[in-house]
Amino acid sequence: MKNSKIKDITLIALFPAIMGATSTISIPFGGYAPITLQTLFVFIAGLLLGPKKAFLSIVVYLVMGAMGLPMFSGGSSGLGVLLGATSGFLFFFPIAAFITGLLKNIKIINKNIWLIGPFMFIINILIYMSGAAYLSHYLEVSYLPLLLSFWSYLPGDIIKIIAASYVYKRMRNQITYE
Amino acid sequence: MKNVIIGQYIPGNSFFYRMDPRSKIISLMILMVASFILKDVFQIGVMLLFVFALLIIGKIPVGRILRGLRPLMYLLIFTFFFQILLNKTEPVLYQGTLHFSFLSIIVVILVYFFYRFSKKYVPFKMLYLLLFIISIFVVLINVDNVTAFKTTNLAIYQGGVLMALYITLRLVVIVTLSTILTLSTKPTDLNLGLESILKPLKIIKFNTEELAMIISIALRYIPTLLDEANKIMLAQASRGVDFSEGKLKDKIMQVISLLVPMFIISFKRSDDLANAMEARSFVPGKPRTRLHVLTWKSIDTITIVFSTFVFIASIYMVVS
Repeated sequence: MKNSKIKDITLIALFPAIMGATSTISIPFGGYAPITLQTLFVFIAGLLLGPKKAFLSIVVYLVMGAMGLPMFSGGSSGLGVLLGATSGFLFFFPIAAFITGLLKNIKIINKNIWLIGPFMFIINILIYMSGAAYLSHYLEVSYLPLLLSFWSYLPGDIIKIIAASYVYKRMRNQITYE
Repeated sequence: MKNVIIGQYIPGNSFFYRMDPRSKIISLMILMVASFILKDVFQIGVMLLFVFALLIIGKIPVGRILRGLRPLMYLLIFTFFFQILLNKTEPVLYQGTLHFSFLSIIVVILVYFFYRFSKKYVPFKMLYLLLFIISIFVVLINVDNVTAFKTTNLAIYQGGVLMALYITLRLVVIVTLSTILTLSTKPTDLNLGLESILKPLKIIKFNTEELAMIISIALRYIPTLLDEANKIMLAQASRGVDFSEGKLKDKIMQVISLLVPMFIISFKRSDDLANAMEARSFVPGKPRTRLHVLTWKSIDTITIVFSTFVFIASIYMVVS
Protein backbone atom coordinates (compact mmCIF):
# COMPACT_ATOMS: atom_id res chain seq x y z
CA MET A 1 0.00 0.00 0.00
CA LYS A 2 1.33 3.36 -0.99
CA ASN A 3 0.18 5.68 1.73
CA SER A 4 0.09 3.46 4.77
CA LYS A 5 1.54 6.35 6.73
CA ILE A 6 -1.83 8.12 6.88
CA LYS A 7 -3.35 4.95 8.26
CA ASP A 8 -0.60 4.80 10.85
CA ILE A 9 -1.33 8.37 11.90
CA THR A 10 -5.04 7.73 12.41
CA LEU A 11 -4.35 4.48 14.26
CA ILE A 12 -1.81 6.07 16.60
CA ALA A 13 -4.31 8.83 17.37
CA LEU A 14 -6.92 6.23 18.29
CA PHE A 15 -5.50 4.96 21.57
CA PRO A 16 -4.88 8.29 23.30
CA ALA A 17 -8.47 9.16 22.44
CA ILE A 18 -9.85 5.91 23.88
CA MET A 19 -7.73 6.28 27.02
CA GLY A 20 -8.88 9.88 27.38
CA ALA A 21 -12.52 8.94 26.89
CA THR A 22 -12.37 6.23 29.56
CA SER A 23 -10.10 8.08 31.99
CA THR A 24 -13.01 9.06 34.21
CA ILE A 25 -13.63 5.38 35.02
CA SER A 26 -11.40 4.93 38.04
CA ILE A 27 -11.76 3.46 41.49
CA PRO A 28 -9.76 5.21 44.24
CA PHE A 29 -7.76 2.48 45.91
CA GLY A 30 -5.02 2.37 48.49
CA GLY A 31 -2.84 5.38 49.08
CA TYR A 32 -1.01 5.90 45.84
CA ALA A 33 -2.57 4.82 42.59
CA PRO A 34 -6.26 4.31 41.77
CA ILE A 35 -7.44 1.34 39.72
CA THR A 36 -7.94 2.44 36.12
CA LEU A 37 -8.34 0.97 32.66
CA GLN A 38 -5.04 2.54 31.56
CA THR A 39 -2.92 -0.62 31.82
CA LEU A 40 -5.59 -2.56 29.92
CA PHE A 41 -5.35 -0.13 27.00
CA VAL A 42 -1.56 -0.12 27.16
CA PHE A 43 -1.58 -3.88 26.66
CA ILE A 44 -4.25 -3.77 23.96
CA ALA A 45 -2.28 -1.04 22.15
CA GLY A 46 0.80 -3.23 22.20
CA LEU A 47 -1.16 -6.22 20.93
CA LEU A 48 -3.15 -4.49 18.21
CA LEU A 49 -0.71 -1.88 16.89
CA GLY A 50 2.65 -3.59 17.20
CA PRO A 51 5.70 -2.23 19.02
CA LYS A 52 6.54 1.06 17.27
CA LYS A 53 3.05 2.42 16.81
CA ALA A 54 2.02 1.40 20.33
CA PHE A 55 5.05 3.16 21.82
CA LEU A 56 4.30 6.35 19.90
CA SER A 57 0.64 6.23 20.76
CA ILE A 58 1.25 5.97 24.51
CA VAL A 59 3.86 8.76 24.29
CA VAL A 60 1.25 10.95 22.59
CA TYR A 61 -1.09 10.04 25.45
CA LEU A 62 1.42 11.34 27.99
CA VAL A 63 2.07 14.52 25.97
CA MET A 64 -1.65 15.19 25.74
CA GLY A 65 -1.98 14.68 29.47
CA ALA A 66 0.81 17.18 30.10
CA MET A 67 -0.99 19.63 27.82
CA GLY A 68 -3.84 19.77 30.29
CA LEU A 69 -6.33 17.39 28.72
CA PRO A 70 -8.19 15.11 31.12
CA MET A 71 -6.20 12.01 30.19
CA PHE A 72 -5.04 10.62 33.51
CA SER A 73 -6.95 8.69 36.16
CA GLY A 74 -10.17 10.33 37.26
CA GLY A 75 -9.95 12.97 34.55
CA SER A 76 -6.94 14.65 36.10
CA SER A 77 -4.27 16.28 33.99
CA GLY A 78 -1.32 18.59 33.88
CA LEU A 79 2.32 18.55 34.74
CA GLY A 80 1.40 17.96 38.38
CA VAL A 81 0.43 14.36 37.58
CA LEU A 82 3.58 13.74 35.58
CA LEU A 83 5.65 14.92 38.54
CA GLY A 84 3.36 13.34 41.13
CA ALA A 85 3.30 10.03 42.94
CA THR A 86 2.16 7.85 40.04
CA SER A 87 4.60 9.15 37.44
CA GLY A 88 6.82 6.08 37.83
CA PHE A 89 3.95 4.00 36.47
CA LEU A 90 3.08 6.48 33.73
CA PHE A 91 6.59 6.77 32.31
CA PHE A 92 6.89 3.01 32.00
CA PHE A 93 3.65 2.65 29.99
CA PRO A 94 5.23 3.34 26.55
CA ILE A 95 7.98 0.81 27.22
CA ALA A 96 5.43 -1.74 28.41
CA ALA A 97 3.41 -1.27 25.22
CA PHE A 98 6.59 -1.62 23.16
CA ILE A 99 7.60 -4.88 24.85
CA THR A 100 4.08 -6.27 24.48
CA GLY A 101 4.15 -5.47 20.78
CA LEU A 102 7.54 -7.15 20.35
CA LEU A 103 6.35 -10.30 22.12
CA LYS A 104 3.22 -10.47 20.02
CA ASN A 105 5.29 -10.53 16.86
CA ILE A 106 7.03 -13.77 17.93
CA LYS A 107 5.48 -16.54 15.84
CA ILE A 108 4.80 -19.18 18.51
CA ILE A 109 3.12 -16.66 20.77
CA ASN A 110 1.10 -15.20 17.92
CA LYS A 111 -0.28 -18.65 17.04
CA ASN A 112 -1.39 -19.39 20.56
CA ILE A 113 -2.25 -16.06 22.08
CA TRP A 114 -2.84 -17.29 25.64
CA LEU A 115 0.90 -17.93 25.87
CA ILE A 116 1.39 -14.19 26.13
CA GLY A 117 -0.45 -14.06 29.45
CA PRO A 118 2.56 -14.93 31.65
CA PHE A 119 4.73 -12.47 29.74
CA MET A 120 2.21 -9.69 30.23
CA PHE A 121 2.17 -10.63 33.90
CA ILE A 122 5.94 -10.07 34.00
CA ILE A 123 5.55 -6.74 32.19
CA ASN A 124 2.94 -5.79 34.76
CA ILE A 125 5.41 -6.56 37.54
CA LEU A 126 7.92 -4.36 35.69
CA ILE A 127 5.39 -1.52 35.71
CA TYR A 128 5.02 -1.98 39.49
CA MET A 129 8.80 -1.99 39.88
CA SER A 130 9.13 1.26 37.95
CA GLY A 131 6.34 2.87 39.95
CA ALA A 132 7.82 1.68 43.23
CA ALA A 133 11.28 2.89 42.23
CA TYR A 134 10.00 6.41 41.71
CA LEU A 135 7.85 6.37 44.84
CA SER A 136 10.60 4.98 47.06
CA HIS A 137 13.02 7.56 45.75
CA TYR A 138 10.55 10.31 46.41
CA LEU A 139 9.29 9.22 49.81
CA GLU A 140 12.69 7.87 50.89
CA VAL A 141 11.07 4.58 51.84
CA SER A 142 12.90 1.30 51.29
CA TYR A 143 12.17 -0.27 47.94
CA LEU A 144 11.08 -3.84 48.57
CA PRO A 145 8.34 -3.39 51.19
CA LEU A 146 6.79 -0.74 48.98
CA LEU A 147 6.88 -3.08 45.97
CA LEU A 148 5.32 -5.86 48.02
CA SER A 149 2.55 -3.49 49.14
CA PHE A 150 1.35 -3.37 45.53
CA TRP A 151 0.17 -7.01 45.72
CA SER A 152 -3.42 -5.83 46.25
CA TYR A 153 -3.48 -4.49 42.69
CA LEU A 154 -2.62 -7.91 41.25
CA PRO A 155 -6.09 -9.54 40.99
CA GLY A 156 -7.44 -6.57 39.03
CA ASP A 157 -4.44 -6.54 36.76
CA ILE A 158 -4.69 -10.27 36.07
CA ILE A 159 -8.30 -9.69 35.00
CA LYS A 160 -7.09 -6.86 32.77
CA ILE A 161 -4.46 -9.11 31.18
CA ILE A 162 -7.06 -11.79 30.45
CA ALA A 163 -9.40 -9.16 29.01
CA ALA A 164 -6.64 -7.75 26.81
CA SER A 165 -5.77 -11.15 25.35
CA TYR A 166 -9.46 -11.91 24.86
CA VAL A 167 -10.04 -8.65 22.99
CA TYR A 168 -7.00 -9.32 20.79
CA LYS A 169 -8.18 -12.86 20.07
CA ARG A 170 -11.58 -11.57 18.99
CA MET A 171 -10.20 -8.64 17.02
CA ARG A 172 -7.26 -9.95 15.08
CA ASN A 173 -9.30 -11.74 12.43
CA GLN A 174 -11.02 -8.49 11.55
CA ILE A 175 -8.02 -6.23 11.66
CA THR A 176 -5.18 -6.92 9.33
CA TYR A 177 -3.00 -3.90 9.77
CA GLU A 178 0.05 -5.79 11.00
CA MET B 1 -22.32 14.44 24.91
CA LYS B 2 -21.79 16.80 22.00
CA ASN B 3 -20.55 19.73 24.05
CA VAL B 4 -17.93 18.01 26.10
CA ILE B 5 -15.58 20.74 27.24
CA ILE B 6 -12.18 19.25 26.95
CA GLY B 7 -9.20 20.17 29.04
CA GLN B 8 -8.51 22.63 31.78
CA TYR B 9 -9.15 25.63 29.57
CA ILE B 10 -11.45 28.28 31.05
CA PRO B 11 -12.57 31.21 28.92
CA GLY B 12 -11.45 34.67 29.93
CA ASN B 13 -10.14 37.93 28.58
CA SER B 14 -7.03 38.84 30.55
CA PHE B 15 -3.69 39.41 28.84
CA PHE B 16 -2.80 35.71 29.07
CA TYR B 17 -5.57 35.02 26.58
CA ARG B 18 -4.36 37.60 24.10
CA MET B 19 -0.88 36.14 23.95
CA ASP B 20 0.43 33.81 21.30
CA PRO B 21 0.77 30.20 22.54
CA ARG B 22 4.36 30.14 21.31
CA SER B 23 5.43 33.03 23.49
CA LYS B 24 3.55 31.52 26.43
CA ILE B 25 5.37 28.19 26.07
CA ILE B 26 8.79 29.85 25.63
CA SER B 27 8.39 32.13 28.64
CA LEU B 28 7.10 29.18 30.69
CA MET B 29 10.32 27.32 29.84
CA ILE B 30 12.47 30.35 30.76
CA LEU B 31 10.69 30.82 34.10
CA MET B 32 10.93 27.08 34.92
CA VAL B 33 14.67 27.07 34.30
CA ALA B 34 14.94 30.23 36.40
CA SER B 35 13.16 28.56 39.32
CA PHE B 36 15.44 25.53 39.01
CA ILE B 37 18.51 27.77 39.25
CA LEU B 38 17.44 29.30 42.57
CA LYS B 39 19.17 27.74 45.55
CA ASP B 40 17.55 29.32 48.58
CA VAL B 41 14.17 29.35 50.29
CA PHE B 42 14.04 33.12 50.23
CA GLN B 43 14.78 33.30 46.51
CA ILE B 44 12.08 30.73 45.84
CA GLY B 45 9.78 32.80 48.08
CA VAL B 46 10.40 35.84 45.88
CA MET B 47 9.61 33.69 42.84
CA LEU B 48 6.40 32.50 44.50
CA LEU B 49 5.35 36.10 45.13
CA PHE B 50 6.06 36.86 41.47
CA VAL B 51 3.92 33.91 40.32
CA PHE B 52 1.17 35.03 42.70
CA ALA B 53 1.30 38.52 41.18
CA LEU B 54 0.96 36.92 37.73
CA LEU B 55 -2.16 35.08 38.94
CA ILE B 56 -3.73 38.29 40.22
CA ILE B 57 -2.85 40.35 37.12
CA GLY B 58 -4.05 37.57 34.82
CA LYS B 59 -7.30 37.14 36.80
CA ILE B 60 -6.81 33.40 37.06
CA PRO B 61 -8.91 31.67 39.74
CA VAL B 62 -6.67 30.32 42.51
CA GLY B 63 -9.06 27.41 43.12
CA ARG B 64 -8.24 25.93 39.72
CA ILE B 65 -4.52 26.23 40.45
CA LEU B 66 -5.02 24.33 43.71
CA ARG B 67 -6.89 21.63 41.80
CA GLY B 68 -3.86 21.27 39.54
CA LEU B 69 -1.66 20.86 42.60
CA ARG B 70 -3.85 18.17 44.16
CA PRO B 71 -2.10 15.11 42.65
CA LEU B 72 1.17 16.41 44.08
CA MET B 73 -0.13 16.99 47.58
CA TYR B 74 0.58 13.57 49.10
CA LEU B 75 4.13 13.71 47.83
CA LEU B 76 4.60 17.27 49.03
CA ILE B 77 3.37 16.44 52.54
CA PHE B 78 5.52 13.30 52.73
CA THR B 79 8.69 15.02 51.53
CA PHE B 80 8.00 17.90 53.86
CA PHE B 81 7.89 15.67 56.95
CA PHE B 82 10.75 13.44 55.84
CA GLN B 83 12.97 16.45 55.32
CA ILE B 84 12.02 17.92 58.68
CA LEU B 85 12.61 14.65 60.54
CA LEU B 86 15.72 13.40 58.74
CA ASN B 87 17.68 16.48 57.74
CA LYS B 88 19.96 17.36 60.64
CA THR B 89 21.66 20.65 59.84
CA GLU B 90 22.28 22.95 62.81
CA PRO B 91 21.01 25.07 64.52
CA VAL B 92 18.27 23.33 66.49
CA LEU B 93 14.90 25.01 66.36
CA TYR B 94 12.93 22.80 68.71
CA GLN B 95 13.66 19.89 70.98
CA GLY B 96 11.12 17.66 72.64
CA THR B 97 10.44 14.10 73.70
CA LEU B 98 7.87 11.73 72.24
CA HIS B 99 6.20 9.55 74.89
CA PHE B 100 4.77 6.23 73.85
CA SER B 101 2.47 4.91 76.55
CA PHE B 102 -0.80 3.02 76.50
CA LEU B 103 -2.79 6.15 77.15
CA SER B 104 -1.12 8.26 74.47
CA ILE B 105 -1.41 5.48 71.88
CA ILE B 106 -5.11 5.14 72.65
CA VAL B 107 -5.51 8.90 72.20
CA VAL B 108 -3.66 8.69 68.87
CA ILE B 109 -5.99 5.93 67.69
CA LEU B 110 -9.00 8.01 68.75
CA VAL B 111 -7.62 11.00 66.83
CA TYR B 112 -7.12 8.75 63.81
CA PHE B 113 -10.71 7.53 63.87
CA PHE B 114 -11.96 11.07 64.33
CA TYR B 115 -9.91 12.03 61.27
CA ARG B 116 -11.22 9.07 59.24
CA PHE B 117 -14.87 9.86 59.89
CA SER B 118 -14.77 13.64 59.81
CA LYS B 119 -12.67 13.72 56.62
CA LYS B 120 -15.75 13.68 54.41
CA TYR B 121 -17.15 16.91 55.77
CA VAL B 122 -14.04 19.06 55.51
CA PRO B 123 -13.46 21.12 52.35
CA PHE B 124 -9.65 21.35 52.43
CA LYS B 125 -8.64 17.69 52.73
CA MET B 126 -4.92 18.18 52.39
CA LEU B 127 -4.71 20.89 55.02
CA TYR B 128 -6.77 18.60 57.24
CA LEU B 129 -4.30 15.75 56.70
CA LEU B 130 -1.47 18.12 57.63
CA LEU B 131 -3.34 19.15 60.75
CA PHE B 132 -3.92 15.48 61.60
CA ILE B 133 -0.21 14.60 61.36
CA ILE B 134 0.77 17.61 63.46
CA SER B 135 -1.86 16.76 66.08
CA ILE B 136 -0.41 13.23 66.41
CA PHE B 137 2.96 14.75 67.27
CA VAL B 138 1.34 17.15 69.74
CA VAL B 139 -0.44 14.25 71.45
CA LEU B 140 2.74 12.18 71.65
CA ILE B 141 4.67 15.06 73.19
CA ASN B 142 2.14 16.23 75.74
CA VAL B 143 -0.09 13.35 76.86
CA ASP B 144 0.96 11.11 79.76
CA ASN B 145 4.61 11.78 80.44
CA VAL B 146 4.70 9.49 83.46
CA THR B 147 3.96 5.91 82.46
CA ALA B 148 5.66 5.98 79.09
CA PHE B 149 7.36 2.68 78.24
CA LYS B 150 9.38 4.19 75.43
CA THR B 151 10.58 7.70 74.80
CA THR B 152 12.20 9.11 71.69
CA ASN B 153 13.89 12.42 71.24
CA LEU B 154 12.47 14.69 68.62
CA ALA B 155 14.60 17.53 67.36
CA ILE B 156 13.71 19.85 64.52
CA TYR B 157 16.65 21.55 62.86
CA GLN B 158 16.57 24.79 60.96
CA GLY B 159 18.27 23.23 57.91
CA GLY B 160 15.55 20.61 57.67
CA VAL B 161 12.72 23.12 57.79
CA LEU B 162 14.37 25.36 55.19
CA MET B 163 15.12 22.41 52.88
CA ALA B 164 11.55 21.09 53.19
CA LEU B 165 10.11 24.51 52.40
CA TYR B 166 12.54 24.87 49.48
CA ILE B 167 11.60 21.56 47.84
CA THR B 168 7.85 21.98 48.26
CA LEU B 169 7.76 25.63 47.17
CA ARG B 170 9.83 24.92 44.06
CA LEU B 171 7.43 22.18 42.95
CA VAL B 172 4.47 24.45 43.69
CA VAL B 173 5.99 27.23 41.57
CA ILE B 174 6.70 24.96 38.61
CA VAL B 175 3.30 23.28 38.59
CA THR B 176 1.51 26.61 39.05
CA LEU B 177 3.33 28.07 36.05
CA SER B 178 2.36 25.13 33.85
CA THR B 179 -1.23 25.30 35.11
CA ILE B 180 -1.42 28.98 34.09
CA LEU B 181 -0.44 27.91 30.58
CA THR B 182 -3.02 25.13 30.30
CA LEU B 183 -5.77 27.21 31.89
CA SER B 184 -5.41 30.11 29.50
CA THR B 185 -4.72 28.26 26.24
CA LYS B 186 -7.06 26.10 24.21
CA PRO B 187 -5.68 22.59 23.53
CA THR B 188 -5.75 23.21 19.79
CA ASP B 189 -3.77 26.45 20.14
CA LEU B 190 -1.34 24.73 22.45
CA ASN B 191 -0.91 22.02 19.85
CA LEU B 192 -0.15 24.56 17.13
CA GLY B 193 2.30 26.36 19.38
CA LEU B 194 4.08 23.14 20.31
CA GLU B 195 4.36 22.20 16.66
CA SER B 196 6.04 25.43 15.61
CA ILE B 197 8.33 25.48 18.65
CA LEU B 198 9.50 21.90 18.11
CA LYS B 199 10.22 22.53 14.43
CA PRO B 200 14.02 22.69 14.89
CA LEU B 201 13.86 19.00 15.83
CA LYS B 202 13.56 18.26 12.12
CA ILE B 203 17.35 18.09 12.07
CA ILE B 204 17.18 14.79 13.97
CA LYS B 205 14.40 13.50 11.67
CA PHE B 206 11.64 14.05 14.23
CA ASN B 207 8.58 15.14 12.33
CA THR B 208 6.66 17.57 14.52
CA GLU B 209 3.90 18.12 11.99
CA GLU B 210 2.93 14.47 12.25
CA LEU B 211 2.91 14.64 16.04
CA ALA B 212 0.67 17.71 15.93
CA MET B 213 -1.60 15.97 13.42
CA ILE B 214 -1.87 12.91 15.65
CA ILE B 215 -2.71 15.05 18.68
CA SER B 216 -5.37 17.03 16.86
CA ILE B 217 -6.96 13.87 15.45
CA ALA B 218 -6.97 12.33 18.92
CA LEU B 219 -8.61 15.48 20.29
CA ARG B 220 -11.34 15.18 17.71
CA TYR B 221 -11.80 11.47 18.42
CA ILE B 222 -12.60 11.85 22.11
CA PRO B 223 -16.18 13.21 21.81
CA THR B 224 -16.89 10.86 18.91
CA LEU B 225 -15.78 7.85 20.91
CA LEU B 226 -17.81 8.93 23.93
CA ASP B 227 -20.81 9.13 21.64
CA GLU B 228 -20.13 5.67 20.23
CA ALA B 229 -19.68 4.18 23.70
CA ASN B 230 -23.02 5.63 24.69
CA LYS B 231 -24.66 4.09 21.63
CA ILE B 232 -23.14 0.67 22.30
CA MET B 233 -24.29 0.82 25.92
CA LEU B 234 -27.83 1.61 24.81
CA ALA B 235 -27.69 -1.20 22.24
CA GLN B 236 -26.51 -3.69 24.86
CA ALA B 237 -29.14 -2.46 27.31
CA SER B 238 -31.84 -3.03 24.73
CA ARG B 239 -30.62 -6.64 24.52
CA GLY B 240 -31.07 -7.00 28.26
CA VAL B 241 -27.66 -6.17 29.72
CA ASP B 242 -27.97 -4.40 33.06
CA PHE B 243 -24.97 -2.17 33.66
CA SER B 244 -25.91 -1.01 37.12
CA GLU B 245 -26.33 -4.35 38.85
CA GLY B 246 -24.77 -7.77 38.98
CA LYS B 247 -21.86 -9.48 40.64
CA LEU B 248 -18.24 -8.58 40.01
CA LYS B 249 -17.88 -11.34 37.43
CA ASP B 250 -20.93 -10.14 35.51
CA LYS B 251 -19.64 -6.58 35.60
CA ILE B 252 -16.32 -7.62 34.12
CA MET B 253 -18.10 -9.50 31.34
CA GLN B 254 -20.23 -6.40 30.69
CA VAL B 255 -17.15 -4.21 30.35
CA ILE B 256 -15.62 -6.72 27.93
CA SER B 257 -18.89 -6.80 25.98
CA LEU B 258 -18.43 -3.05 25.59
CA LEU B 259 -14.76 -3.23 24.67
CA VAL B 260 -14.91 -5.47 21.60
CA PRO B 261 -17.54 -3.49 19.65
CA MET B 262 -15.93 -0.25 20.78
CA PHE B 263 -12.59 -1.30 19.34
CA ILE B 264 -14.11 -2.61 16.12
CA ILE B 265 -16.01 0.64 15.59
CA SER B 266 -13.06 2.84 16.41
CA PHE B 267 -10.76 0.91 14.08
CA LYS B 268 -13.34 1.26 11.37
CA ARG B 269 -13.54 4.99 12.07
CA SER B 270 -9.80 5.42 11.84
CA ASP B 271 -9.82 3.49 8.58
CA ASP B 272 -12.54 5.78 7.19
CA LEU B 273 -10.62 8.82 8.32
CA ALA B 274 -7.44 7.59 6.64
CA ASN B 275 -9.34 7.02 3.40
CA ALA B 276 -10.96 10.42 3.58
CA MET B 277 -7.62 12.10 4.17
CA GLU B 278 -6.09 10.19 1.30
CA ALA B 279 -8.98 11.12 -0.98
CA ARG B 280 -8.29 14.77 -0.17
CA SER B 281 -4.63 14.23 -1.11
CA PHE B 282 -3.18 14.56 2.33
CA VAL B 283 0.49 13.69 2.07
CA PRO B 284 2.35 13.43 5.38
CA GLY B 285 5.40 15.68 5.57
CA LYS B 286 4.38 18.01 2.73
CA PRO B 287 3.96 21.73 3.59
CA ARG B 288 0.37 22.75 4.29
CA THR B 289 -1.50 25.98 4.85
CA ARG B 290 -3.55 26.53 7.98
CA LEU B 291 -7.01 27.68 8.89
CA HIS B 292 -5.83 29.37 12.07
CA VAL B 293 -2.56 31.23 11.73
CA LEU B 294 -0.68 32.24 14.84
CA THR B 295 0.15 35.93 14.99
CA TRP B 296 3.04 37.38 16.96
CA LYS B 297 2.06 40.63 18.65
CA SER B 298 4.02 43.21 20.62
CA ILE B 299 2.69 41.79 23.91
CA ASP B 300 4.48 38.53 23.10
CA THR B 301 7.83 40.24 22.60
CA ILE B 302 7.31 42.15 25.84
CA THR B 303 6.54 38.92 27.71
CA ILE B 304 9.62 37.14 26.38
CA VAL B 305 11.84 40.12 27.25
CA PHE B 306 10.26 40.33 30.69
CA SER B 307 10.75 36.63 31.48
CA THR B 308 14.34 36.84 30.24
CA PHE B 309 14.75 39.73 32.66
CA VAL B 310 13.40 37.52 35.48
CA PHE B 311 15.84 34.81 34.41
CA ILE B 312 18.82 37.20 34.54
CA ALA B 313 17.60 38.55 37.88
CA SER B 314 17.48 35.03 39.33
CA ILE B 315 21.03 34.33 38.11
CA TYR B 316 22.12 37.59 39.74
CA MET B 317 20.39 36.58 43.00
CA VAL B 318 22.20 33.23 43.06
CA VAL B 319 25.63 34.66 42.22
CA SER B 320 25.61 37.61 44.61
